[in-house]
Amino acid sequence: MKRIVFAAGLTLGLLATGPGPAAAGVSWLHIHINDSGSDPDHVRVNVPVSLLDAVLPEVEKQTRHESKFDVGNCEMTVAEYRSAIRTLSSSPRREVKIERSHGTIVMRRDGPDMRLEQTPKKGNRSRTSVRLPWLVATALAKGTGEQLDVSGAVRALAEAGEGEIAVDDEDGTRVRVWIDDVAFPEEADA
Amino acid sequence: MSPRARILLFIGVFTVFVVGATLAAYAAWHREGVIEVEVSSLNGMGTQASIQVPGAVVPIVLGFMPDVRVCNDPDWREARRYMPMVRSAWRALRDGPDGVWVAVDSRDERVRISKEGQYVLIDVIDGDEHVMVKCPVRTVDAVTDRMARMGRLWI
Repeated sequence: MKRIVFAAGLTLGLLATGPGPAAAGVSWLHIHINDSGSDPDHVRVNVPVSLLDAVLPEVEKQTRHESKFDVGNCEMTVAEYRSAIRTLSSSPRREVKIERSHGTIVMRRDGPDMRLEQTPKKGNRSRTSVRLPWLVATALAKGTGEQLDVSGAVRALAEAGEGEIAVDDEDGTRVRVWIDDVAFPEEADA
Repeated sequence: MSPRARILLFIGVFTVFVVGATLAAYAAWHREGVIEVEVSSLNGMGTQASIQVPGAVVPIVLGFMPDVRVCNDPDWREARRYMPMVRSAWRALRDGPDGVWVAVDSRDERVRISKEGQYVLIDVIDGDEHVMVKCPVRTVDAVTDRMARMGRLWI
């Protein structure tokens, strides 16, 4: 269960560091978490995107000076993220590596997606992989200062159609986040 | 007016009052719904507890709560900032269609939080225990409205 809470925190952390979307319409945000470890858990959350309008502005106030990425047990600052996005925009075939004491974060473009992979150094077990649509990744980088543009990222995710944010870790926990017009989708986690 | 006519008039007025009050209470009961909490056992023990409270009671009780304008507890001071947000979040959920908002399945637990018509349902199976809470939407409205008001009032 701790792994699920961590994964949910990571995903919500990605979403909850900026203002909400301007217009929600009838779109729905889905967060599905599958833990296939020794004690399997499945969590499915389906909420209207308009809920983010209510929640994110307040969360943004609380986290105005704390925006950062947590990928596995490695942190990446907003400035590092923006710099990596600029590099990948100009040279799509390149990889960007950010070294940390616990491991390395590797960012690269993969077709319509961007991948962040955290590779641990010796002795650290956790390996985490994040996949998100490139449009969402670039929208996220458009904030100012140390603030990510989460509202823009949410709009981009809604416009991505089939696109989704997916987080996998070595312990078998998979988090999927996507937006569509279906209020309560049937079980579709593969 | 004869004494007999006065008695009949009194009985008539009293009957109209009682019937009217009963109908008003019945209408309020139906309008506000009923809060139900049911605890049952899945190993053949049947229902262990079942409580039903008219949802209309909640706004009345909340109406008697005093407005707290100054609160020195730091946790409460922190919590008050989120109270208007809780109401906005609730309204976004309330105005959506029926269905399951949250579903959790694990080896021993099963949790469902959903909306069905004018009710919010919380259904939890934990081992052999089954707890079902059914709360009218209007009751949650009253509680979140009150929370938002408290959030605005506190200094």
